[in-house]
Amino acid sequence: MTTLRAQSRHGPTVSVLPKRRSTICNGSHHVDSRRAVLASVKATGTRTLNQAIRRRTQEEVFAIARKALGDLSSATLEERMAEVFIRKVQDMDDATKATLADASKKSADPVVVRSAFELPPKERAGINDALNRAFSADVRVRFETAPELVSGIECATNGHKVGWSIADYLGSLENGVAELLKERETTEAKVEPKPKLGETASTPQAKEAPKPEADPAPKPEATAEAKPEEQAETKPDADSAPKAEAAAETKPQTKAEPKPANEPVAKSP
Amino acid sequence: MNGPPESLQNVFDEAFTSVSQARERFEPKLIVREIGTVTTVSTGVAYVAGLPGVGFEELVRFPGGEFGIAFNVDEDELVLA
Repeated sequence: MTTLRAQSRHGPTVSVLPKRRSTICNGSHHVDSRRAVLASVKATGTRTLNQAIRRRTQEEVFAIARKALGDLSSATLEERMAEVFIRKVQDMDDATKATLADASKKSADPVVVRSAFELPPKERAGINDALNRAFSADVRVRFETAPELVSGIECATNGHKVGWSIADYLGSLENGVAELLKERETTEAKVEPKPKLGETASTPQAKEAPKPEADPAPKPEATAEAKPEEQAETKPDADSAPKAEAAAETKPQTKAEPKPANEPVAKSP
Repeated sequence: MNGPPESLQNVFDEAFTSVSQARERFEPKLIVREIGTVTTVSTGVAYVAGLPGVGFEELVRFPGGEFGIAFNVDEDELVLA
């Protein structure tokens, strides 16, 4: 108390003033760096939540579409889709025709044509005829029903398939949306502003502030549009199979937090 | 917090904008895809016949949306975990 009174009466001494300034400056740097870390963590959390919302929204939109179309589809719709499929097979480009024809020739098994509902003889004959013309050969065809197509036709031969079904349509559309969202998220991560640090921005401590995931490492992509059929009686164990999230584990973690300045940077006047 | 915070409304707007854009761009056509057949499944490992174009550590989608990573690629068989 005595000291304080003495200071208030006579003002701070020359030796006390630089020390006080140094302490205040230190505290300011520390607060700024903590604030930057907090902003970074908050931004990362917000981005993760936003990505989750977008992904779930996309999944739900397509799940609703699948359910609605599955509930409303009928054999009549299937016949109509078979007609369109025949037309599409006839209009296939040469490369696609050649790929399928080669695959078909190399296999002893017949070409499998699946549909959600059983096709009437007229549509079966039409599809068989279209495949004969497309492959320029007398193609043996086996017809099967596959309710998971929702509605439509799928033609598979020796590890290759073409599909004209609602499931295929929605799957392709969903991939398109996923790619768009991924593009946006990548752009968003790149352009996200760095946390400002006020007046101390030019100090070395400020430069060490973390950049929130500015350069995400590439994730393994489903580059091969491979999709195993569910022909085998033993289905893949859904619980034991790795989930899509497992691939996301390879994402880079947020950068290390900057350490607060331990030594005062302010100089005494 | 620096910069304008992204509101929930913005997030939903962006999500549905992406869906709309993809719908507008999308043109359905017959595309050849590679497929395989699951021959055996044991302890979380699936043996798949076919899929000649799949490479090591590529992701393969199973029916139902589950993914597997190819860790053994043979000429006639693929092992996915």
